[in-house]
Amino acid sequence: MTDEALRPLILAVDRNRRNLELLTQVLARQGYQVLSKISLEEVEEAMNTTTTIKLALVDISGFDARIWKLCQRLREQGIPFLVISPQHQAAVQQASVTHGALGLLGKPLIMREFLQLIQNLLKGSE
Amino acid sequence: MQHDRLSTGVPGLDEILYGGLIPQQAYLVRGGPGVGKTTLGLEFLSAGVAQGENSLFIVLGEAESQVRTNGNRLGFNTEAITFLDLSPSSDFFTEVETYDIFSPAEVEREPTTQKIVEQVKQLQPKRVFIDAMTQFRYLATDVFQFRKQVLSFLRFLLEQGATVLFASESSPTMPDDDLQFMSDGVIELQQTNGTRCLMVVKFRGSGFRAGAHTFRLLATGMEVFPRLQPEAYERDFKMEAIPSGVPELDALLNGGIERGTVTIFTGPTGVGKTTIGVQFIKAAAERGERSVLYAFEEQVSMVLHRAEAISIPVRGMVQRETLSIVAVEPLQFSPDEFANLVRQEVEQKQARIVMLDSIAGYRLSVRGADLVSHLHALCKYLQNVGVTVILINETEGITGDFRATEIGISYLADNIVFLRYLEMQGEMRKAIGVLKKRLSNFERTLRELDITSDGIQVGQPLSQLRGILRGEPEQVNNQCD
Repeated sequence: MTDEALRPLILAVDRNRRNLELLTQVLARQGYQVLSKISLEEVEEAMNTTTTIKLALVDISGFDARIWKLCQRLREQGIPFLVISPQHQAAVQQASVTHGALGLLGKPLIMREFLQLIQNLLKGSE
Repeated sequence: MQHDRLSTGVPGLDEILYGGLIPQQAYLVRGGPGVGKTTLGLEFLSAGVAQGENSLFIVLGEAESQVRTNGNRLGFNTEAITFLDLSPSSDFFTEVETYDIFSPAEVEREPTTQKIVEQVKQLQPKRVFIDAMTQFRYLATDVFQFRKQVLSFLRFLLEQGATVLFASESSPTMPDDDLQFMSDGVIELQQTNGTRCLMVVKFRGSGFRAGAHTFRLLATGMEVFPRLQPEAYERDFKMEAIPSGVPELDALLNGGIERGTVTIFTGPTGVGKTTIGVQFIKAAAERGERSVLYAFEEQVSMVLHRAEAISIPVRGMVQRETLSIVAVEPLQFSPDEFANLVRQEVEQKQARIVMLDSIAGYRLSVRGADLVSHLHALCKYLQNVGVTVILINETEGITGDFRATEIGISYLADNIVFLRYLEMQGEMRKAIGVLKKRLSNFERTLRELDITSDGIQVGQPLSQLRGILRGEPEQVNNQCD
């Protein structure tokens, strides 16, 4: 098994190209493999072909209500995921939990805390 | 320039800093938008370039191209300055480079720091200008982080051998007090009612000339006019009387007016005050001495015409450079600028007589408040360097109760010479007398004055008259009844 195969694969979903780049860079620097997707169609396609996703990070900003269907699918496939949102609204929190999210993270993320959380979640899923 | 000082590139500012900046220190330049912070930065870097030093401009606000274009317009050779442009490119907007997933402090601090470190280590600049340091505030998560980052950034630059000038953009809602504490010196630029002024409020390791000093942003860059401090200037000179060349007038004055004194010629309009002043200038020119006449109320052509009409060859004097006539337009100069102009005449062109025509004109023409104290400083400076000062003062009343001056400047004068109209036998005549002379005795009587196409004529003492100061002289009868 190659080193690459050993590194956990994280699915990152974000409508903002720069956000997605930054998220990918930060995770890659920590040694994770990252599947970066900017649209729901791309995510659907990736989920159809990839089965090794260990964790998903879904920034819901800029997506319509279909984003919750994606969350539903992640849950159905047993992929743990975190929802990222600029707002800490009770409705968003409720919807995230209802659709199976492990938790809701408010933006901006504090890099060190964020990476620690990812690490803990992935350790727990091993 | 002292050998341990670094020129700011602005001679007036170097003078205020007692020779320039102390090398390997960091100085804050603060002030509102458009006041001249970037121009001062360009002056500082260009002065380094002129001496073959590497100079680095770290751009955090305006785009490099914009700074270069504006700098080139002001005559700076920006090609010789290295720029590190850390300002956002237009892509940030057009390519939707905005982000919110992490804070800018976390995303941009590292690449920004890396670029600066690489550039500084490669260039080894002797001078660095950062425009504006306050941008780093957005790259810090909190006040403590900002302070720590700025301190360590400055320390890094200083350790590399650089002298640093950094600008700040402050406002009441976002003060820059922290940066003032962190710097070794603070140069504050202000703009009020169209007048720019500069103040040094902190300079570690050196004294400096306190107070507000006027400056201008000219087509050639920044020019600072240090406020005159008369006590800073001294010159050895012989306290001799300089004559007017009119024997009777000189007799009245016990030989003339002394060098390094202030003389006020006071009297009503048209009585001949300017003419008497110009007569002293004529006599100085005959001795080969240079004088400057600042005309606040008249055009140069008018002064020339009036003087030539009474046989004072002013055109020849101007040609031989024993006289310079400078017409000062209303609100043209600040008091500091005007004082600087006078200093240039005295220090570079060796002027020995300076005449201001008139005091009221000075007050109207020179911008700013507290003009009496500025005039006082100017006169004291001229006295200290042995220049004879002639002030022309116009009094309101033609005849009537006598007053030396009307604007409270008599205390400035070492000598007060007054001119009066007299009504004698139904005819308007003129008289001249001395009211005060600090350094010598003087004639207590008045003399008749006449100004004709042949020049100034002063008569014998009017010892047989009384009531002259009221303007209504009467014959004194010496015989006892």
